[in-house]
Amino acid sequence: MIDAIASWMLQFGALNWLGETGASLVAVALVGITLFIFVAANAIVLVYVERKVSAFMQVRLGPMRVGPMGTLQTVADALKLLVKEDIIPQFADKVLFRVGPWVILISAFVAFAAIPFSPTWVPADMSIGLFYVLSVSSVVVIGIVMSGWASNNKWSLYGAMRSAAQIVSYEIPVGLSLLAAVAVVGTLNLQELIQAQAGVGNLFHWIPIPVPNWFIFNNPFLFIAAFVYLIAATAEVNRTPFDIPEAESELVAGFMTEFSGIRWALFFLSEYANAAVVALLTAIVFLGGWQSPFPDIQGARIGMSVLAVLAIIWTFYVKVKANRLSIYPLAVTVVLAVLAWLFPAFAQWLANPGLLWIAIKGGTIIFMLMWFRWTFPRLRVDQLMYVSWKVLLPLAMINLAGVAIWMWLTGAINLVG
Amino acid sequence: MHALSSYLILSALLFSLGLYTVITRKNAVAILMGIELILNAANVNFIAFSKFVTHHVEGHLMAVFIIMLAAAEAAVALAIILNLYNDHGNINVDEANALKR
Amino acid sequence: MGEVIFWVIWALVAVSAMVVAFSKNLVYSVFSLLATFIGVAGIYIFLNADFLAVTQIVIYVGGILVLLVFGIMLTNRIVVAKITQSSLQRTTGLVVVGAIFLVLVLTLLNQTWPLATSAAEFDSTVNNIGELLFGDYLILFEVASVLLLGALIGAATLARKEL
Repeated sequence: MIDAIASWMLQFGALNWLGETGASLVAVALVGITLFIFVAANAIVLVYVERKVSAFMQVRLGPMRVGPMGTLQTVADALKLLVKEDIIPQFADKVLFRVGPWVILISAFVAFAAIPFSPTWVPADMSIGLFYVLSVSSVVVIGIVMSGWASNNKWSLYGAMRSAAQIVSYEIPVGLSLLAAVAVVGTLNLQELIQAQAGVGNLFHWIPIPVPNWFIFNNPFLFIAAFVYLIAATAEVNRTPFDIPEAESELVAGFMTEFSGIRWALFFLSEYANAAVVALLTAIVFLGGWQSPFPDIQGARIGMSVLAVLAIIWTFYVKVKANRLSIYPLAVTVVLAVLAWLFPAFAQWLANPGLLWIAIKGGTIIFMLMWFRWTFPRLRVDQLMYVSWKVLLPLAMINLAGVAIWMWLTGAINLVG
Repeated sequence: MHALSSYLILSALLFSLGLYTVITRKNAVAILMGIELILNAANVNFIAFSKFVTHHVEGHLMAVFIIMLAAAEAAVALAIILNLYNDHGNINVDEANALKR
Repeated sequence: MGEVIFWVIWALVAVSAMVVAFSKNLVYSVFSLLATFIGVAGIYIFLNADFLAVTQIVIYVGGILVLLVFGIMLTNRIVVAKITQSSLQRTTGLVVVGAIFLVLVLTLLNQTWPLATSAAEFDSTVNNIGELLFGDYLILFEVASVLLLGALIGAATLARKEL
């Protein structure tokens, strides 16, 4: 990708003075800036969405005043945070207090370098992409401990210690559940991982229900592994119900207690960047990444029709059960299905792989993370450790062994390599 | 590209600094940090030689095993250090001259 | 450009390792180790060891460094954000270690290494490492896993309050 942009820039005579090195430097800078804008916009949009989602789940309106439907609320909040006074507590460790938030943000940010957004749009196509994303995410914990320590506040330190214990424990189920998918495909390269999930096949290879060839449908163990990964990853990014590091009812705000203004905004940026990385990684490893769920035009038409029928059933169910008419899913799917039958070009567009699909899948996962957050109560510290070491870890190990046995029984070989 | 010696000098520097940490520090955790520096120096050497001399990934395997040993060693050493703290109230190795108090 | 980045990383490793060795503040020492480990991972990338660079970050930064930080926080009565540490025999140590460093550098500069003749770079090391690990080095791999299990049980037993 970097090379492609660099050679594309060198085609223009006006940019020839850059030379090979200069062009690739500029390309790296361009990609980096684009990703950073994406991370910032991601946080701003997700904070708004989170506030709206939580409001609707609690039958409130949420932000309504700034801009239409309150859409500019988070922009205003961000501006407020940027111009706030920069406070460093008197007895804090000044150096570590300044460095800590940046360590967290950078480690959350560089994970995007390996994420493929579309068949061509991947900042760095590495042979060890999946392992790389996992490894740089594990640096976050050092930044958290650094910030908590530097604050010189016991709540901050408690939050940091809890966070360190939590992230270190949950890394293991995360790694093992992803390893189950890697065992099926035989590569760590995220692009090859996605390419191996093209097309449509039977559910678990032998149940005659046509589903996309995503790894979550590849075999029963990967189906469980996807959920193990999602739960463990939720804990790894410190989101509710696993947010004991910043449990506001016990620890004020955990490791971010003493932070305000721009540094606090950095924590927010990295929190939502981490959530986005988890969502994208779930989409890539288990849900086919940028692959379309439909194989071709006919598949797109039939698939959309099935979705529309499901939406009709859902509407009736809600009407009977809750006596409430939820019209939006019905309207959207029916319109899309009709469009797909009327215009082959639209159906073809739906069947094409691309940015659209990974955005939809990632968005769904992020919505699920928010749903968790506003539904489940927070776990206690000992319950948290119990879930990690006595539930998720054995489950992930059984999954890994199960995938191996499944592949041996069905005679499947690695899809790649 | 860079010569082999640039890697080896870095490795020698890491080794010396690690050794200095190990022999002068009183705090047991600091000594552990020195040991990690020494192990890193060894790893840099292994990988540099595997690229420039043998041109085979067997050196990488040695480094993998060293990293694995470092993890095991850090875990056990920290457990011992915690016991030392419980018994003596500090972890200065020059004061830890009795097995139990 | 690669040359510049290499020397920046080289300097990062050297300086941060010096902070680890010489800093009076234990907390600076341990967080400076973060820069050393990441810098060494960068050096690995220049040596075409992509898998090891990532392993280094996962295990050293995500595991060992966290353990060290825990060790520091559990073994100090925390009053202020600074934990001073004292050293013994700094001058003697410096002289001895400086002499060792000089000998090492002089030796390795005067040595002619049998450099490999093939200029081919190995592309990705993951496949090779995996095949060796489960082929020629299988016994070593199994022994290492037993060792890790032993270390796990040993550490858990030792760290309990009553032995």
